[in-house]
Amino acid sequence: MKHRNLLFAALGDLIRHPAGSLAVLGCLLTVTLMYLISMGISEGVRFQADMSLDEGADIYVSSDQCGLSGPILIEEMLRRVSDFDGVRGVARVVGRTYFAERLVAVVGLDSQGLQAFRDGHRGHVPGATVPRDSHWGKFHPPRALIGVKIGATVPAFPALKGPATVSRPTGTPPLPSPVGATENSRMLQHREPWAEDRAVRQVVTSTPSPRAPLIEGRERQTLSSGGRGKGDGAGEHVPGPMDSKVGDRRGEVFLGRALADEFGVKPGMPFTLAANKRKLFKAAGTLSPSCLWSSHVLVMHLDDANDFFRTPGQANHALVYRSRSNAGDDSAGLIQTLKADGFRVSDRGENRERLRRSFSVSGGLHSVLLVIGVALAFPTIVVTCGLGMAEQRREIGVLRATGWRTRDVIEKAALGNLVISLAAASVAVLLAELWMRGFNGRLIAQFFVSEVGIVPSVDIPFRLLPSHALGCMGLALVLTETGGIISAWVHARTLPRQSMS
Amino acid sequence: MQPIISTEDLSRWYNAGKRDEVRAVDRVSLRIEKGEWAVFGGPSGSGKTTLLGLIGTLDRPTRGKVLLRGKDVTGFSDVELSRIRRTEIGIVFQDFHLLRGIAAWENVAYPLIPAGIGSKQRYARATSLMERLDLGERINHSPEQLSGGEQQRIAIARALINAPSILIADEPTSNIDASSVQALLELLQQLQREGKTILVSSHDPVFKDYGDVRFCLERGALAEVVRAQRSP
Repeated sequence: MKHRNLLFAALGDLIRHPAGSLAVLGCLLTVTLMYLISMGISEGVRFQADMSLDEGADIYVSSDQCGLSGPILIEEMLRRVSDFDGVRGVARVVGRTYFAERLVAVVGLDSQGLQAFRDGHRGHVPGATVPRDSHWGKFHPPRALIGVKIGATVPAFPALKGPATVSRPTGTPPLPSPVGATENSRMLQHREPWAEDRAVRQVVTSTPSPRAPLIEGRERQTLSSGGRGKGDGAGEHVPGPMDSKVGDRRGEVFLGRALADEFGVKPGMPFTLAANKRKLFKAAGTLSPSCLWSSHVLVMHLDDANDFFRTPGQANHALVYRSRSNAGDDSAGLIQTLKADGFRVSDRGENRERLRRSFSVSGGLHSVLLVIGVALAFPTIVVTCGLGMAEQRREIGVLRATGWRTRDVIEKAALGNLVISLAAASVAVLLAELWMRGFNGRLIAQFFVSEVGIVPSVDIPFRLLPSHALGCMGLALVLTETGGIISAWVHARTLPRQSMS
Repeated sequence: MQPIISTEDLSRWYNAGKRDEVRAVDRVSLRIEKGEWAVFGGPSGSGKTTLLGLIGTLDRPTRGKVLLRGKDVTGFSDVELSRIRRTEIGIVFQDFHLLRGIAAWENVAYPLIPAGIGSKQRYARATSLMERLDLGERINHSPEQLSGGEQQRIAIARALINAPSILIADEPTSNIDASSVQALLELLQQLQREGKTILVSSHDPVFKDYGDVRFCLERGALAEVVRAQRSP
């Protein structure tokens, strides 16, 4: 009963001093909201990376150049991989270049890889596998706030947008295998049990008629490092309206959504890149905005990437996939052989460990920033808690003079701070969810994720875990209790006559 | 007979040993019997409030002793002093020191909160006491809505809520009008009749005709003790 009395007395105090309570609440909200958003984004990025790893290859092979990854010869490597049972190799070029003034990643895949990528298997492109509804809590309603009608069908795995591929209503048989009935394609399909369903559920948003203009709303344009400029792309074949092979053709490129939005690139638009202006590309579509990792990426044909980087016949990695259905795969033998021949070989476990370490480093940076933030917030909270310090001091003196013990006074202060911390943490969690999911982190995401701008055009990865909410609560408690209890203790220990004077 | 309150060589010096040393209370020794009404008189700055603060355990003396029922409380711990203030002594402050923003009855019942008494019981005890002090119509008013005299009676009710045996009132007439002074005197007389020991500090001449014993202070020292003849 005593503790309940003190709790209600503390609540009464908060109501009696609304200005002070609101000031403390505001300070706490600022600190805890920043904490939650940073942790949520960090976890979201980690989660997306983890998913990409799950969807990626089982084994990554590159050559060893002084301990770093070097290029491999595509034909030779794929031939070596094919010597082993139950595994399949895909060559991948990953590089960097500038799209106008923006640094972008270039991913080059062969025809099979591109086709598989288009049809649902996106493990070749980091982050392209992240579904939109993968976040904790399944908190969808705010989507309605940004233009999607409630109840509208949102593709579960909308990797491609714009001129779409094949319209298939839910319930129809799966798409035919892009590479025929080969063993490799069966293996590929088997290791993704949900890939069929994903392909079937893929909703076509628009299918341009054969007479539709190649560039929506304007003439063909060429982008170069100098920015957007007009050009006719003479001498290059510009593919027609999308068909089932779109994206497989030489010269066609899928763009990350942020990139496409930033430079106004529409499907069908030709462009060049500053690093090799002789090479003309055509936008075949944009990647899903659901993943930050693929927001600034160009996915193109392996040969195009080789041409562009002037590295014919070479790739950065061979991605090796194991057959899950074939228990007798010889991936272990492959790894052993390649390692013996001096190649750099890493399996999924090693990559996961590397990822974990890199996130530990970034987690450490987050911690440092958090400590700095708390260190800065602490005096603010203490000062704010001390708003009306004279009044608080006088009241504590009165309580002590009427028989309250020091511990009673401290308990009341602690309970008041507990209430305000709980309130601040709860509001902060709701605000963070609303801000990040409902408004995709407008205005604030730019402070945590570089180059996303005030209004991010890609879905900002955000994933709050219960531990984050608890951490938020703990942070709020530490801040308020430290300031509040010290203040209450000092006043309560003072002789009542001095406190009241 | 053992006095309920006594002091021995009680002193409270500020900035002791320095050039600006102030001897607010200087070597005061006195005795107050149970059920007596003691009036502490003297000019402003003579040390009345400081002396009552020392007796009420709100302050600690520089030297000397305060004895309650024969026990020296100057060495008592913080917890023990809190218990004495909760059970033995009720104090009415010159400025009342009511908590703003809460109802009058809550102010009266506030000392009961750490005792673990439920809200209904607190309300019952507070309103009963307030009705006795003619505050029945002011139960839910906040202190800001009350007159000086009403605020003082609220403060007295708060001091009495734990049924102490000693009531200390510091300059009780300084913030109330003349009509309230008479009501206050009658109330204090009534409380004395109920067996409470009353200590009042005041330089108001109205107290000349009241009290069983009068202690006159000058510059912190006890200058005169006048004990009235008790009627048999």
